Amino acid sequence: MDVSTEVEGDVTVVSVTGDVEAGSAPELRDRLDALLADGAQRFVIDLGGVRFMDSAGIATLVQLFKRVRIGHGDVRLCSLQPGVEKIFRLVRLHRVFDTHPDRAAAVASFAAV
Amino acid sequence: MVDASLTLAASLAEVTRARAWALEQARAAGLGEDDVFALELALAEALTNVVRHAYGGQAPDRGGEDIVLGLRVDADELRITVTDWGHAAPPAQAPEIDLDEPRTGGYGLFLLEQLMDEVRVSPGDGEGTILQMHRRLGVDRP
Repeated sequence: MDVSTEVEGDVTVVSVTGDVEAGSAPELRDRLDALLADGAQRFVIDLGGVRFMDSAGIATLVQLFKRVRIGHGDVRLCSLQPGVEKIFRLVRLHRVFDTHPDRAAAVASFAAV
Repeated sequence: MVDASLTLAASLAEVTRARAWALEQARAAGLGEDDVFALELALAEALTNVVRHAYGGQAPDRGGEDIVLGLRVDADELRITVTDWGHAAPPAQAPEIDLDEPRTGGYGLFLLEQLMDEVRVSPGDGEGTILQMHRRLGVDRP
């Protein structure tokens, strides 16, 4: 799994590539924790490069969601592949996370707030 | 058709290896994408649970033979058996999913029940646990 970050205005875009599962999710969590510690509050998580995600990956994103909500930030997801979209639906979190077809739309959604 | 088994050590790296193995078997057997997805995710959840809870995150001294995964694919059904020799834990109840206060864990068993038509947990022979899962293939689900 690879994680890269870019800042667009006040939005932090985190691009994830590879499988997000129990073995790799802690690395993603550490990266997100470091970004939170640096003050990031508005996140776009680009999952275009993720074919497989398990409940450990879901838990990592829920953790981020709960932490940014405390500071009135938000997490938006984009570019979900079918298997990832399916697990979000199975655990019914597709109604919790705002999802967007691509990164530009996800970043722009913050400007509309 | 597939009738195969794989022996694993109790580690998360082995979960990844088992998932890749099962994916290859499923594709060779011509399973549809929905069934492949269910197999892969159910295996990841079930095996991760064994590594973390039955073995407490530490591989025991069993010569790397901590988990035996059985996979059987017939014309219309998929059967997965996961046998371990770790600490038997009482099967937890699948939690309710609360959208106002989403949980940061505990999705594993809930997912198994969503992905499979039948999930059965029984005590092993003397020690450990046997998890049996069954899914009808090629069935449209919501």
